Amino acid sequence: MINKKLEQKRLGIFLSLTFALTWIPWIIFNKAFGYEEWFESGHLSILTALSSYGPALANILTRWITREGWKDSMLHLRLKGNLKYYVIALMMPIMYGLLIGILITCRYGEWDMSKMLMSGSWQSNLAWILNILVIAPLMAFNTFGEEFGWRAYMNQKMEPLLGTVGTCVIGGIIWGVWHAPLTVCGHNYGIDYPGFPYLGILLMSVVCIFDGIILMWLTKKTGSIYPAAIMHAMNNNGGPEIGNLLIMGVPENMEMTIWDQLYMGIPQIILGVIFLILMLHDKNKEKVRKIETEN
Amino acid sequence: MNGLLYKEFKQNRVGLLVTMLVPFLVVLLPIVLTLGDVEESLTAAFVSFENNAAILKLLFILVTYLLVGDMQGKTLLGDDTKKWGIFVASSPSGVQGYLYTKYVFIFGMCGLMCVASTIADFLYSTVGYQVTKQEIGSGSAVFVLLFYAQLLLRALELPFFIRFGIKRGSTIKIIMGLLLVIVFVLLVIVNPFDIITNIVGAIDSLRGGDVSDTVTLLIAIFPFLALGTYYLSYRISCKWYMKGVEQYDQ
Repeated sequence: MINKKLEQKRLGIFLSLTFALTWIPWIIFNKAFGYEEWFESGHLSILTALSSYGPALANILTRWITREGWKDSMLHLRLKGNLKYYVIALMMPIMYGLLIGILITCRYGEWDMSKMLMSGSWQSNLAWILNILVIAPLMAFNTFGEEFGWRAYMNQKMEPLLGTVGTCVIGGIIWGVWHAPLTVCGHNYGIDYPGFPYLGILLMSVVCIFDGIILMWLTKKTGSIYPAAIMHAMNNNGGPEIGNLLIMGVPENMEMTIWDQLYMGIPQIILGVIFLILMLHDKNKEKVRKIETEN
Repeated sequence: MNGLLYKEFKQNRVGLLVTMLVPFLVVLLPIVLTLGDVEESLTAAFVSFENNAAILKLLFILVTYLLVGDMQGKTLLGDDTKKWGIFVASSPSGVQGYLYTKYVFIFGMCGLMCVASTIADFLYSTVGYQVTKQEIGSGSAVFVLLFYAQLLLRALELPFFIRFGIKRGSTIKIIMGLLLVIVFVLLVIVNPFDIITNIVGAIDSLRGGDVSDTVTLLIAIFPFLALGTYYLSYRISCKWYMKGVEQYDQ
């Protein structure tokens, strides 16, 4: 039996620390250097990398403050028997990238191989894909900070309190809102759209809900945080861009509106729903197994 | 398995610390190297270093990778005794479990070096940009290649270390290295089919950014080759371990 009050307290401390440890530096950096300079330009890359470690630091501090210890830290690799999940983590962003490519061509372009946006020979295209596959996992140190906080701590605490669906939805919204200091400066959606910045924050939350589901599934399946960090890194380091290979007949300088971005999120939403069903199915199976062993 | 991993951490804590800290020396490099020549300001030191000593920086990175790489191979030091070998073979995780831990640990050390180098590079470019207001080139791509090169080197040397022990394994490694050097020197002297001329040409075009698609593809395939070799090396080490144990000292 879990102590619900204690878990609520721990979750509260974790969330307060996460927001404090990231929002305060982000707001200061936005004011001091300007968003473009510190986040987008790469001139202050060390700040960008370190500031994303807020959730990880909050995980460590919460465990320390509440004397929780390191049970279920999810820091083990758990490679044995789980290698397929590591491969799925690598392939998932490519998969929805390809689906996005197909959707964009269906909506804005036309199916004509000669009009592929990705020019160049097959060798250079293959080299590009292989490069993404080998570089992204190494960049997982950049996304580890977030995953060690959100998936390895928040989700674990939230699930017994809110259930699986509740954790996916509320956890996703929290994760999306956490990005707000960046979203209000134009992160992902720019600043030139109706409903700025609220619509951007809302859309970010929607994306985070469905991305979060897949990341949560990977974490629960392996009991390790690394597949989620790898998938997140793949997402941030060009994985979905492989789908550009399937974009044909779209003008190169076409500007995407925020509604186009929502439209392009459809594959992620579909995959998110599929993985939510898988997660619920696994949970039910676990329940049945428990009852059977009790009897 | 956890116990074995704990042993590795405990046994190699100095190596891990060095792996984490050495790449950060690169941030200090311009200051140390140019302090004597440029007395006006730190800005001038950075500008001078970036403009004149890029090759020195690359050399420094290569040397740190070689030094740390040597430490990775030496994680076997102390384990190459008959007593330990027999104990491992009779333990529940067995030879495969022990070597699996060893290979994962060394893989992790290589990864740690790459991550530490990338963070050090972030720090270098951030400090450099703040000081000079000039774009500072990123070395991330080099670190990725070096990571896989390290894996390949470890994959080649570890089975020898396991089969013959660290001492004899190192000697075999040196002999193989010397053989490679001899082959290279012979190639330079004889230069059959203009091999050297072609290699120099390829390096020149690489430096100029004019790389053919085939070369790009070959570079992209290299990490997969390194990973495959690393796995193969693990399998070979598993096969050779007990043969090695028979020859180890007490």
